[in-house]
Amino acid sequence: MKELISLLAEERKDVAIAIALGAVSGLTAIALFAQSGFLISQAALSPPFYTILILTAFLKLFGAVKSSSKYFERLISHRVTFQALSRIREHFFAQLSPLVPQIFTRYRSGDLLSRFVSDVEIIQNFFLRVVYPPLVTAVVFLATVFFTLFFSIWLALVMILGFLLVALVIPALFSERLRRNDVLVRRAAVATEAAEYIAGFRELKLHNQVKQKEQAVQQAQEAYIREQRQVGNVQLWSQTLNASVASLTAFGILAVGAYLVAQGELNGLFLAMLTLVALTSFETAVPIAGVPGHLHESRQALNRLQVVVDEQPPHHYEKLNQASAYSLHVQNVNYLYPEADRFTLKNLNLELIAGTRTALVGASGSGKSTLLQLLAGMASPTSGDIRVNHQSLTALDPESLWNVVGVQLQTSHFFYGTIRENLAIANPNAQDQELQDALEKAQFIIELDAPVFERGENLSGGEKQRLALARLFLTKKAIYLFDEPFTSLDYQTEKNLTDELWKHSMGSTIVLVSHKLSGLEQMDQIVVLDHGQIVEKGSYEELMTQKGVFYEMKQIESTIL
Amino acid sequence: MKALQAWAFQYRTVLIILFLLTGVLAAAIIVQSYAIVQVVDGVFVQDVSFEEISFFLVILVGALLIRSVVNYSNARLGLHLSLTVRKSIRNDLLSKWTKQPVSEKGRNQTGEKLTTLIDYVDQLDPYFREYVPQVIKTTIVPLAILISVFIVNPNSGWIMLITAPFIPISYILVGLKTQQKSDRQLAELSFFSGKFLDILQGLQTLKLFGRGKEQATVLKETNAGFQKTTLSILKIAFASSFFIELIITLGIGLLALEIGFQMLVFETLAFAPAFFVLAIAPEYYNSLKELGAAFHTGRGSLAAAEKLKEELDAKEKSVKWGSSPLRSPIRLDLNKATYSYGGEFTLQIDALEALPNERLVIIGPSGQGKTTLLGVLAGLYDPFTGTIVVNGKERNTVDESSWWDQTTYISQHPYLFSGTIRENIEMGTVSSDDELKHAIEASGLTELISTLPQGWSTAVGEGGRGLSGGEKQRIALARSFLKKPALVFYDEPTIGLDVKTERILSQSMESLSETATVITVAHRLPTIRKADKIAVLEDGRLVAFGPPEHVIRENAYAASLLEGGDDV
Repeated sequence: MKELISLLAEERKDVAIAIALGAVSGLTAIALFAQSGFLISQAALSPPFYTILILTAFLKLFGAVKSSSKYFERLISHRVTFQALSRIREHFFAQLSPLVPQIFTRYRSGDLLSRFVSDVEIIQNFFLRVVYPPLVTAVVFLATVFFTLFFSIWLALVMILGFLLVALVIPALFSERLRRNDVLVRRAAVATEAAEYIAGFRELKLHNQVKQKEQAVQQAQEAYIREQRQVGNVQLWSQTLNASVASLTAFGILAVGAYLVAQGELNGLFLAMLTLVALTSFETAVPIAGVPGHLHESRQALNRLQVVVDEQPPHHYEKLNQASAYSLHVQNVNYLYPEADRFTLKNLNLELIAGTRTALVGASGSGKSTLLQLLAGMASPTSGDIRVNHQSLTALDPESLWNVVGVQLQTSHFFYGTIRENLAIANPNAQDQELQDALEKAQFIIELDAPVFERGENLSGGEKQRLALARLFLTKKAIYLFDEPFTSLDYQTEKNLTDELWKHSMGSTIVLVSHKLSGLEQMDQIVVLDHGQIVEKGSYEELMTQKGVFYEMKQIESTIL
Repeated sequence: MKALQAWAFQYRTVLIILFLLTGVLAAAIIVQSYAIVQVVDGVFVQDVSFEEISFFLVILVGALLIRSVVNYSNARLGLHLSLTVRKSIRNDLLSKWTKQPVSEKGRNQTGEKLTTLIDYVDQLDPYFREYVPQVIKTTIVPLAILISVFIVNPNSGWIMLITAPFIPISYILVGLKTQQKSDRQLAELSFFSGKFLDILQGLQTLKLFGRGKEQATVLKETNAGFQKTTLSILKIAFASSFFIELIITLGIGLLALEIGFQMLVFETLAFAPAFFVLAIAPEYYNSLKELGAAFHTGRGSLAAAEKLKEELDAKEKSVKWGSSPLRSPIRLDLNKATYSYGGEFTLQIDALEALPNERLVIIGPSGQGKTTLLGVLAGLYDPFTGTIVVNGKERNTVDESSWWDQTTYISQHPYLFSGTIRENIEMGTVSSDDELKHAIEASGLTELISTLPQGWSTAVGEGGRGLSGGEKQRIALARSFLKKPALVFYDEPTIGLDVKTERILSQSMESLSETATVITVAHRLPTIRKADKIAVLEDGRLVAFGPPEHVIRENAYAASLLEGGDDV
């Protein structure tokens, strides 16, 4: 919470202006009605005509000031909000950034990031919904009470009582119940059931379970609706109570005022005015009721963000020593995904000699992609070590590692923008000609200015893989790591691109994860993984003559059409 | 709008109660102002004693309380309406989807359908919760106030009547202006607001290319752009409420001036009616203003309503079933069947048969409709024309649940539900531990399960333990063993299984075949070699069908597969 307030404090000038304008617009609204009440009371006493003209002129003035101050108040308070949002985003981005990509082993990236964005969005409203309303209301109220004091202390006391009830007692009464709301949990439960119903529809059909699952979704929705109804009713209660107390306060002002007038202790001229003041002054207090709820939301969002950014960033000290070629040495590596109950990699030892090509093969779930991610420094071994030349990979500054390592994963991220922008990530200084050459080498015919939608949604799987490859062709690295880079391409394209890839990466140390066993004759070493262990390694010829696991896999593959 | 109205009109009682309550509300508003005026007039102008006005104070409290109660009830009715409509639309969607055949698009549609069911339905909320009660309020309250003002002081009534239309007019004018200006800006806005997520998602890629450090600057620029665009859109909205407030202030000012003139210059108006007009005028203008705000929120429901209507009105082609139970062994015949989807692909087969306990294998190059044919045979889709005959009777006379009880369909990508391994194997049926053990043994899962601390009670699926592709295949097999099917449909997996799963799959299919009619879309040579009959599919047509030795002679594709020797 402190962090948030200090971020806001950097905007203190605008904050002060917004609050001042809010107070002005609140006060002029009250003044407008006070004035009109006073006007007609005056008129009833048949004063000289110019009094009425002056009073009416004031009325217009208040009206204009009220509307325009409201306009500027809104503008500035929203500007503050957006500035705070920028700061909040930059602040949390700076904290999250060093944790990427290692943090993705702990949280699924999709969940983590969309939650991160929506939490940041929740706390953007911290100013507008939590800080701002009580401050403005306080100013407006103090001024109103002060004004009332001139006429009667009793009326001022009634105002204070009403204000305390509306702004403090009633919100406090309901905040506990509103805080304990499970609407989002119930909604997520509906989504989970519905996702199973939709995605598992065929299986449900095959096992006569569609009706049952439909009922499960309906039950989840019943619970969701019930919770919404309960929370909604509590909210309505709190709003109704608030509004009732506000109007009863106005009533109190009128009743006490009328009594005082009847007793001759208050000039009747002011009664209409004071009643209208009481009726309008509570309008600014309405948003107060929401403050506890929003405060709670902001706090929760902040806590969730904190849990993420409190992850220890990995300590890296060393820079990678420059060399013309790099070997990789995997030593007794074990890897356990956080919260998993079995090791994905078990006691792995592997030597990747500088300038050689290694293929990692095995069934899905054998651990080959995980090993590649460890080699890329995207996750650290649970125990054991990976050495790059003679430096331990975990002790390295990852940026210095990625300067010499080129990585292509099964899926790559593409940014909203153009093909050119997406290629420039690999080499911002490249000329158009170079970009075009890279596309050509990747056999991807497309304009540099062609649009790319978010996450490359307008590109097919094969196009994405070719674009990612073009991006890699713009780099020259000493180590290249590929995780099934061509799964979405047809056989001939795959073959052409593989040749192109070998040409481009000549002399580099290469690791290729592959589920297909064809084309592996060109590799220096083939490593067969099964359930996180190396079951075989050797050159293509060696493995084929050995007639072990690789040979058997090859046999099975050859019978697949 | 029409769809939304139609949904609202289904709950006529709620609407009628809303109307009646709003009538009460209008009366309470008028009585409230009247009582206030009487109190002030009494002590200020008439100089009566406090006792004499206390009657009006009681009336005033009554009016205030009635207002609170009515406002509460209206809001509750709005909430009730919104919840009821959303619930019934969701249930309509579900029962519609339940009747639909399995989608050819498969799981790609999950996200889309989920958005429809959860998000679009929830987006209807503002319309029913806020807009509907507000429209009713705005039709009744200003009218009632206007009538009361006309009775008290017609001149004020005219001013109110004439100024009123300016509020909706300025909403419409500003709305048009924003529409023109903001389409482009809204596009920009969605770009900026998506950019944060885009950068976060791409951070891994950026870092791998050594571009991580620059992103803080990119983010800063994006934020600045976001702020500028949003503010310029908001400016229009703020300006619109500025104008409306100005109109209201102007209206009230005009009223005050007119009242002042009448009281002082012409001396035609007393204090009481003057104060009444002034006290009630804000209520009048505010309820007009609120409609505009409610309209804005209600409009957000429009797009969602259209999408929902479209989904609910979409024609379904559900698979037809009958009532006679299915008896094993099973013989399946397909006569002059056609099937097409997306207008692009057509399946057209004159005759195909699978005799009891026979193994029928479907082969053909990829993309020729093999899986679709399997789906048609399995009863996942109905053929467009032609018939499927089961043991001599048309399939649409067979009882659906007895059909699924005796068939099994093993797809390339079986789906696991969130639950234990046991629940995933049993799939809603109850089986003894022994039966379960047998199914687990037969599908080669014993070893895996013995390594799990919780055995078959281990949670899998979403939020549970992740399983590899081979393990999922074996769970699907275990489901089949538990069923003891008389009819097996098997879409052979193409890739990515470990050697062990491969062995288990072929053994298991062998043992399932002993007591069942098995129809396989084959991707493996050994499977084809074991076939009793082979069907070769090309371009959605059956180009050869019969025993292997017959098909080899007829079809070059089949011949190339089967005569290529043992090691292809």
